[in-house]
Amino acid sequence: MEDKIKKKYCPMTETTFYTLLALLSPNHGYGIMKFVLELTDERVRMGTGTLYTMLGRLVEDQMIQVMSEEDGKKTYQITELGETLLNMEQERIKKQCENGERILGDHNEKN
Amino acid sequence: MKKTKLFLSILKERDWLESMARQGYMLEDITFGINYKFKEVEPVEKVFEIERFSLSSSGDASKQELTARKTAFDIATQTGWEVITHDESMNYYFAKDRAGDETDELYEDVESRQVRADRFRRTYTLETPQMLLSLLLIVAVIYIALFFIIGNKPGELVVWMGIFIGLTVIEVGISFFQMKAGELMYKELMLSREEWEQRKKYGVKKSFKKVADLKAFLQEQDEKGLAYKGNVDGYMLFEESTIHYRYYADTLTALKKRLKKSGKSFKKETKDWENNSTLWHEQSMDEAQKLGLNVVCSVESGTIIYRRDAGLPEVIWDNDAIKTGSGDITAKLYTTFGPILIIAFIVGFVLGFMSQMG
Repeated sequence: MEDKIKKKYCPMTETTFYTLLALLSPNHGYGIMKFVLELTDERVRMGTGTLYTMLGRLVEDQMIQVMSEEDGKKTYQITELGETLLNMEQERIKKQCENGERILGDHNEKN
Repeated sequence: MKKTKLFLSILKERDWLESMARQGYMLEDITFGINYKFKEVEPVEKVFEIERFSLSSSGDASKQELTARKTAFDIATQTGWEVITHDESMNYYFAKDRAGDETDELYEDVESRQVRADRFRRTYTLETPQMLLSLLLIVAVIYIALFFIIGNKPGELVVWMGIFIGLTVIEVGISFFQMKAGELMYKELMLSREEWEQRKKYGVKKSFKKVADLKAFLQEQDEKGLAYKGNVDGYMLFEESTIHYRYYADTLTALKKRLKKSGKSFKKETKDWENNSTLWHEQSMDEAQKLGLNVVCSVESGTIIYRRDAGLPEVIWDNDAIKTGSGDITAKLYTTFGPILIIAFIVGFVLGFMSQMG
């Protein structure tokens, strides 16, 4: 894997993570936004411009690809590279969570 | 209904289009970037956004840039935005019904906002040798044409030289002006709607003759419950605050006076030719910290503004500073303008002397 891609997506932003999650199955723009909104109880709300800028970037970095197009509406899906990086990020988040729970947990218990 | 208007500010243009819609005029078309055509509709609350989808003048484009417009249309139309029209600079105008919540904001993160802002800015920078070459080519054609028109008469050489210089100045001026416009667009497009509203409400553009005037203005604002945040993009920014402050100022001239009184002198750094060093600021801040004053910012790099909770007793410190001209003209005269004037005088003298000889 290119070092450049690794540096760019490890760690990845929250919106990137959730977009990739939404694209494990084929989805289109509005579908992605709705998926993320419902999954996060409306906490992560992606702006229209943020989403289309991100989709362009993810396609260029080959993290996702266009599966089909109908009347100008594109359907995207995650690529193998995207899935690999998504799994790497999940592992990283898990470890980060464990670190926090232990150290912050100890600190909170004492105080 | 047609209207012709020139906007240097994208955000002000956006505000105007939104207010026109509110009055019952919906944007229909734009030509030459300044001729607006409206259609009469029922007054409606719309939000407008402007995006640029144009290739950079170098012609190089990544896949992301090539697919940007189509992807934007795709996603925007799915989320309620309508593509109204575009102008000759490939600025696309989007509009949607105002929802009154976060969905009115096209970009909610700084990173993608910067991508859009860059698309605007890079159209105005002289990016490649190609651009520079085409600029010079136009200049050369004009000069050759003028040469043939005016002819080969030596007496009119002076006129020819004058036009030569005049045109060059105008061309450089236009390029400079365009780059400034591009910079302004960039800075504006980095603001969220909320930040723009804040700036319109609390941002102030003002200049002051004396530091005392600046201080008085800050206290005035403080009485209105507005605390000074600092200067950004030429605006003085304020924010609502329940805490009241007393403001203080310091200048290099005042610092030197204080040091003189205690028998010391200010040692300027010899490598600091352009007065970019923060040396005197650091000394000023050291003193201020001991007095319990907090730094706010520096204005025109000639005046540092401090403040302290108004509940604490007043500090007698800046009586010299407030007498200086805003931006500390006195210090600038000796350190920046003075040397430049002297050098200009010497150069002029030498040139004049040489022309007498030859």
